[in-house]
Amino acid sequence: MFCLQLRNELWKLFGKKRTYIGFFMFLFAQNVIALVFRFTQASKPMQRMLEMSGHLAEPFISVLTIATIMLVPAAAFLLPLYVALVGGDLVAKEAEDGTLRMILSRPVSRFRLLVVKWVAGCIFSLLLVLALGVFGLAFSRLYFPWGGMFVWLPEHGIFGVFEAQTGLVRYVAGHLMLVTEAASIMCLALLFSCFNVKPAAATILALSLTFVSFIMEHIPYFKDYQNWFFTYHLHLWQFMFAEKIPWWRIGQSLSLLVGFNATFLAIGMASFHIRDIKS
Amino acid sequence: MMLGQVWPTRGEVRVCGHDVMLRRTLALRQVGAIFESPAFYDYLSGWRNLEILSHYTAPTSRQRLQEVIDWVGLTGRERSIVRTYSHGMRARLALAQALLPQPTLLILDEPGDGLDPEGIHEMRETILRLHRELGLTILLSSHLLNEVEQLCTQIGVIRKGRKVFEGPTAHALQSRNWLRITVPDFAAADRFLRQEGLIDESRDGRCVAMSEGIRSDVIIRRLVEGSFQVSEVARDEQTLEDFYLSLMRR
Repeated sequence: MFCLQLRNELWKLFGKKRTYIGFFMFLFAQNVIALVFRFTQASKPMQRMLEMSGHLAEPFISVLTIATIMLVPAAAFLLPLYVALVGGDLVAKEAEDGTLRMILSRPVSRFRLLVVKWVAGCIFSLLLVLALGVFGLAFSRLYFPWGGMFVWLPEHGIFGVFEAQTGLVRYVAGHLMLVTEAASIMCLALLFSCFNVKPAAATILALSLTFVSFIMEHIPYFKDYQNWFFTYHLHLWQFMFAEKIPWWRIGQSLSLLVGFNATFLAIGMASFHIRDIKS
Repeated sequence: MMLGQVWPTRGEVRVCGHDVMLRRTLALRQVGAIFESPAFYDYLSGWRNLEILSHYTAPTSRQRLQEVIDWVGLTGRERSIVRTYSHGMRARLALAQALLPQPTLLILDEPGDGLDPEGIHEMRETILRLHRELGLTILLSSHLLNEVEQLCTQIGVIRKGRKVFEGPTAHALQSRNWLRITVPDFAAADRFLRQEGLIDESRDGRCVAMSEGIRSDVIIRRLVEGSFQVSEVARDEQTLEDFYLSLMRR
């Protein structure tokens, strides 16, 4: 029964055109970024940096390097937007359209319904991240050769130079960790979606909270309190590109993200459970 | 509230013997429901909508889906996107989703709302057919009292959240032997009939309630004998609307 209901939830989700906005935008944005890198001097500073650190630049101006560079802004801005859009829709859109009443006239508990929606949202997050990774590689491959990977993420002091094989493993691992970011923001949007609000309001609330957390995290005076900020733990995918992966820090953030998600889900569940569903 | 969508401030709601708030799954297992404006996933086909909704109750076979689609008369259009359905087809789809779990109780909330006269007639016939062919107990909630009068055998009236009447429709329609008489001076005729002990009360300046055991021919004869010019006499039938309004005025 659960699998059937999940399949139905996915039909609903992927039957809507707006679900595909994220996929199309990744397709567009990554193509444009790859083109700009290919046909401008944008890769010059990167070459200089590599040469200054004693590496030959040419083998590292490659598919993996360009795909990883594209990943940073997409993960920071586009991914939260699209997962929040879908998460915000999950309950609020059904309530707005009236289909929630149709569902809740059936002998299904609100708890179960929300769990099914949450799992569907997580699957969407996974697929969106997968698309981000695959499109990144595909478009970079159109204009750049296969080779080693160079990653520079100054915020976390990451400067990584990898062989192609290791680079690919790190790239895949980075995306796996990125799923936690996508699923967490989706879960936050789902929480707001459970309140008696419009779908757009749920999306905006989730994005606002994410950006507020991001802003606070970046205020230098709040450095001692970074651990408390939700977004601080969303960056753990970036550590997959460190020369030496800080597994302790990743474990710490992962456990906190589990806590954040459980809290979002519990509050959403409580709010959804007590609210009256009216036409 | 009966479907567990609105929480009561107090009290309990029992459906099919189970408390809806505490044992919702059990209570609604054999219940189908239709709302005044049924909503569907417009971007999906009718078939897909039925699959989605029915799976919240129990796994439903393709054969059962087809059976219900045939029963409601949507055959041939089940694979079309719901956005392309007419209002009447949406109403039929709503009926199909309600029938899928093979309910014993069907809750219809303003089923004729938004339908044109033809659609209302079709919906009425369908409801009667449901009762006749499938033997379902149907709970109809409606403000269209003439529809209720034509469809329901039992009625309940709720006023400000409290039940003020429950009983057979026939009982509600039963008037107290009211007779509508047309005479030049109704007040004089009223006095005369009361003196004769033939009526108990009168209303609206044209109707009289015959006393127990008195028939209309006796009233007419005495009026004629009393030199009243009787131009019209008719049995005053009470409509459900009259009954409802009388309850609301109390």
